Amino acid sequence: MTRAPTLALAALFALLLGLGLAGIGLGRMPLDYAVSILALPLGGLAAALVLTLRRQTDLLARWSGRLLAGLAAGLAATLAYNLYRVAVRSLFDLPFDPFRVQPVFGQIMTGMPSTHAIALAAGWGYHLWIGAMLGMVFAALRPSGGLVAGLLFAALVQLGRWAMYPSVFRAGLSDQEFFANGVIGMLFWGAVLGATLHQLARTTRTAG
Amino acid sequence: MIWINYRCDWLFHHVQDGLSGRKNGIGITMGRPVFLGASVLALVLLGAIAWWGLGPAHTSGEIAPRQGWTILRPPHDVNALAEHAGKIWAGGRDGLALLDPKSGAVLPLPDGTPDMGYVKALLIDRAGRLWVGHRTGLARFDGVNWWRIAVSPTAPPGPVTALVETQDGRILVGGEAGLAALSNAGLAPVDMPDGQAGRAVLALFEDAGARLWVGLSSASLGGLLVEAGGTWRALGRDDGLAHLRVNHITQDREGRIWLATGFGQQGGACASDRSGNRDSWRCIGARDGLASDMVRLVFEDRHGQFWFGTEFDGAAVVLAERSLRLARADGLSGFELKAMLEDSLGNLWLGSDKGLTRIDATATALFPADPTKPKGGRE
Repeated sequence: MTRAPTLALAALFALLLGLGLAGIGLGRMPLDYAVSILALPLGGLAAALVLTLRRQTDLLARWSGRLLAGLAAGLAATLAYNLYRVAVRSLFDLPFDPFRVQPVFGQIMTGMPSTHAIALAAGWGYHLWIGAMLGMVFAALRPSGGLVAGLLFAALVQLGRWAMYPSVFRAGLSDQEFFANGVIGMLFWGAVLGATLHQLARTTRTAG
Repeated sequence: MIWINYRCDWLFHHVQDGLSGRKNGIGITMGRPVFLGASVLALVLLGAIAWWGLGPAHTSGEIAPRQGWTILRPPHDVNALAEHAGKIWAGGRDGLALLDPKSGAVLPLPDGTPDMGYVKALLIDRAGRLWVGHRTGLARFDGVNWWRIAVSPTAPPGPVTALVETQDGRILVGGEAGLAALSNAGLAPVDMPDGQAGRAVLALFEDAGARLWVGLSSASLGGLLVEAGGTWRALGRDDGLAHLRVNHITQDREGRIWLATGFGQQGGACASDRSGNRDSWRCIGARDGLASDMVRLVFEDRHGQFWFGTEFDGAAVVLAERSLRLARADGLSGFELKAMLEDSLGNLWLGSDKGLTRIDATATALFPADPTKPKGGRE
């Protein structure tokens, strides 16, 4: 079993830990953003440490491969979702800015103006990380992926989000943009996530 | 330690075997029939929500608003409103829109109007010129020609969020990179108290006593800055503010300073005493009849009605001890009320994230003379 996936994942997690802690240390990043950046890397590195101490390197490598596949699928789904938002805005002439949220994330996280390159990089990085993180969570739950599983996962993620922020959900019910992005768009994200992970899992099995 | 090792072992093996469908087990293990059943259930649930959401989305044009209330789109997003040369100017995500105050009809913009995205601030100065603050700069319209200046994304003010003309004739520009003053030499940073330089500004206001009020954006590092006679003072939660994000500042006819504060679900509307005393604040929220604790805007109309806008919950109108909550069904164009204007004809204009509502001057009094009940809505 190769160690490359484990090392790649460890490097990514260490980088995120560094960025998250630096954000907190500089006093700019709100705690909820920091937690969503730090939680998975901290948990992942702690689990890796336990497995390493127990000399369960095969299990560690298997889990690393699984999470990396989830990361790739999550990124692919998130990029596809962004393209979907551009397409749906053009096709149906819906009045929304498909890339508004990333500069806002960046401004909140860094305290810098939303047009600043660092804020834009932070906002886009955060957006992609959330997609990748959800992809890893999905891969941990359902390593073989699949279209239906992806749809179910996306539905659960969105239902959970709405349960946490009922005002957002209530306000969105009378909104075409909410329906296009929050319902259909999220299902599209889940479908791409599930299908991509399924393909990756099949390729891995075939290669193995 | 042994126990922790054991639990980790149990967790890893069950997660990898159970959830991958290779082995049925206990706890978090999920077999294929259960998984398919859960999938179908979740999809049915989401479908129901989609259908529920689809109805209002397709009937939004059929909502019967209150009499005298008209929803106008475009503009599709409104952050700021101003009346200039007998026309209503609305600024928002898509730039500027010009409207006829009597009919609400969208009019063509003057020749030479620059492209401006995310207009957040409009100001009519004492010389009668229109100032427009937007994401990449500042523009001024004198009725014939446009003048423009770009802002740096790194130096104050950055993307413009607020404008004010002071009694000594300065144009102050607040933005995501701080506070700047406009002079013949361009935009120059305004000296702020230690530690506050470069902080994002959301609201600017100068009161009748020539005190400058600066509302900051950050929910953790923000607050309120007050400048009087060249001396700055910073106010925060310890001084009685409901929240450190100050979205809007205004002064009512009795001299009280009002702050609209909050982010997400938290915040409140805070009022000083009648002298505008910055050491005495009383904050109100949802339990006092507002639509939510988070308050986006405070506006007093000519009837003495106070309008409190929110981000997700519409608005509330308060008159004396009576309050009335307003939602889209009443004629609000969206749930986030971001800007208000009472024009010279007495019409009210309400800008939201989904458009504009025009309330005819004859329909702006929401409470009847008999104080038993408001006119419709939910009290």
